[in-house]
Amino acid sequence: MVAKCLLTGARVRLWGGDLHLCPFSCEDDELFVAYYASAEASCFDVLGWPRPCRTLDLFAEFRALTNGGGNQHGNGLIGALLHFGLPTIGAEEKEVMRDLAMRGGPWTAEETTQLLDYCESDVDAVLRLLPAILQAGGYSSADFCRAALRGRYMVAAGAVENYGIPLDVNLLNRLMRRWDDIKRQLVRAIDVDYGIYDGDRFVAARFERYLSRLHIPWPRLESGALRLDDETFHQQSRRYPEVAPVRELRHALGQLRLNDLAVGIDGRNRTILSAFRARTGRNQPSNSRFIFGPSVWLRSLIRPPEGRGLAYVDWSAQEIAIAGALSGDPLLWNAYESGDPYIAFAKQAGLAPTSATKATHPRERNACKEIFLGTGYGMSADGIAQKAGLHIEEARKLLLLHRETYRVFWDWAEDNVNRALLGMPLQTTFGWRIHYPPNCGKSINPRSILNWPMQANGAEMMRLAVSMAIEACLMVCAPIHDALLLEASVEEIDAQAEQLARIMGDASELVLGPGKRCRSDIKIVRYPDRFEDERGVVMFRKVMALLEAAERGLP
Amino acid sequence: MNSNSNNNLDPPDPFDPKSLRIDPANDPGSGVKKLLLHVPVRKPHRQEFFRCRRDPDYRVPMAILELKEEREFYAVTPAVAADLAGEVRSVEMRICTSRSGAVFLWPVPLPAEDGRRNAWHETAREAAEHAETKWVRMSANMGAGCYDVSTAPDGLSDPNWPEHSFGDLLRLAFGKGRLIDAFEHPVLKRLRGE
Repeated sequence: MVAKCLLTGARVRLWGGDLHLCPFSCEDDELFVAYYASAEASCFDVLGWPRPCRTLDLFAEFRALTNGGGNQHGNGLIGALLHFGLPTIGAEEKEVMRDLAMRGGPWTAEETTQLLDYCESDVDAVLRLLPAILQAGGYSSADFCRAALRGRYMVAAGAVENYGIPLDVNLLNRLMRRWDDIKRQLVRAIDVDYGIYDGDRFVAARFERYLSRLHIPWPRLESGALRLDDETFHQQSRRYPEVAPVRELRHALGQLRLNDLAVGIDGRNRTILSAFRARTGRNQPSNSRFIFGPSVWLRSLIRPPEGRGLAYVDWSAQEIAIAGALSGDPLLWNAYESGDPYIAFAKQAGLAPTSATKATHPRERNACKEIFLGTGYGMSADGIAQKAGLHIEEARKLLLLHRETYRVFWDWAEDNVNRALLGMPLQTTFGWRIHYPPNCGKSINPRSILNWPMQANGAEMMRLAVSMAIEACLMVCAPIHDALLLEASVEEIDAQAEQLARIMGDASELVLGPGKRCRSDIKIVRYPDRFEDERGVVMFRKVMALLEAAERGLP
Repeated sequence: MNSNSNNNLDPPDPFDPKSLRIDPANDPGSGVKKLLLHVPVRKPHRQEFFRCRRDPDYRVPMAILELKEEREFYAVTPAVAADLAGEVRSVEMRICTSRSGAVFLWPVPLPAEDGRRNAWHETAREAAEHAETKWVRMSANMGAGCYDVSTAPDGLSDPNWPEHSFGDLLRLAFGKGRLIDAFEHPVLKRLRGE
């Protein structure tokens, strides 16, 4: 470990056994500067050192400065140095040193010196980068404190990455051993009703014949070929439930590689959260290494260890709350506050009587829900009609009603798009920005800009909540979009989940403004039960039945 | 007491997120404005809620000529209208806006000079009157031979009226050849079969 004091230039070089005590203060009158601080913070946790109170993470700041316009050299430390025309060590040299560190000990005295020199070169690089970033960012004192909030999250993210998510490793190992058999059996079990597979190969022509036989219309590419991407399958499955099993099967066969899951010897799934990687500032962990990737049935592998419990706490209808609060649209906020924004919209738009409920007007509510979800992404009437199973005229009418009912929101949303198209920056309530400078060469997608404030402010909410929860000594194992996964003993899990929900409410109020809080839902699982995502339950049961049959040697 | 006075003397924590929130309400916006380049002349669609501007400066009695097939309205100057009794009708032209912000001029029929009553016209005038203070929807009731008028629940935001004067709005609607101010106007020639 190498550190330097910005004020005195004093240098600390520590190796191995020297690391038992933290050599500097981590109090709130010190500023800890790093590039990708979650790595350092994670290391501090392992060493038992205190976490730094104030952190400036130059990675997060570099991302904030270049978000949208992009940079030619990537987001790594070397990329940032090159971006500002600063000297850097070569990428190859960095690679060699990383390999040497990852090889593990014992290291010779010469290798030890080389590794410490490498660490010091990184520290010097951070020192060179700091003034460049401060100058480019033109930070006011408030901006600087907001940057420290981003650093605060990076430190908390290090703790989350260390905790990891507990898995049923025994079951994972059984699945991995039989996975090829299970895949073959899955094809047989599901394809018997469809006849579209040749072995484990999906045959588009057979699928086309199946669709024709059942008179199911299917979106096509310009070339005339069937659209076979997962999103199309997802939408079509909602309209024609008979094709849903085909989607599940394709997912399981095509994208799922159990070996890719990052599982430690203690049976916990740990992967880098990749904080601030998305343009919205959201985390972007690897889909294949993270258990909360797209194969939802796999989440049933999550199981608390003996004597422990897990709580999945998610903000409900977070995007609607953000849209209503930040646009200042009182009708939209009232719809959110009513507890059921979809039925509230149906009433506000005159589609349902004031006495309507989810039970009395399910069709109207579902249609309004699709409009809410679709408008967030600038979806067309055609897209919404497909998704909600409505006639296009119904979808057009509902879209118009949404625009008419929530005019204040739409004015705000369109102004955000205008701003981006003019080359002006957009920012969240805590200063995360996206900026497409004129002539940056990037084409701007108005649909993603429309949704950016909701996603980016949602990310702010999540970062504040994770920071506060980790500082309150809650064991947050993972952030998952608009939810947090918490672990505690079975005796404490209820109380701690309530505490986390309160923290998430506080974080939402910080983002949305005084008096505006986002509700949250709590789902608790206790050992020996396993976590379940309702979208993957049927598939998980199918897989389990096939696994048991394979283990019994049945065909 | 000591602790209270100490607290009062403590400087605020600059890192407290509460003090760092950027309030979107203070955002001046992009400054982009939509230009109003055309104002259609039509009656409100049966599926739209609309408002009529209450300001007396934004309404005017006038004569109009309607080409039914083309669904086109022409403003007719009083001098010309006087000689076109069978073709033109008297209306009160009013500025309206829909919930989605579409601005249009509505030719609201005026009472007939001979005193004959027309339920369509009467209910249209009543709809316009209600639309001065409430969001209103107007739909034809063929069985009853009049318009049904529905009002939206209270609480909807008031319309954003365009900044233009009524004269400018009339120019946007009738400026491009839609004003009949002479018997040689092409529309009148066509009606005369010339």
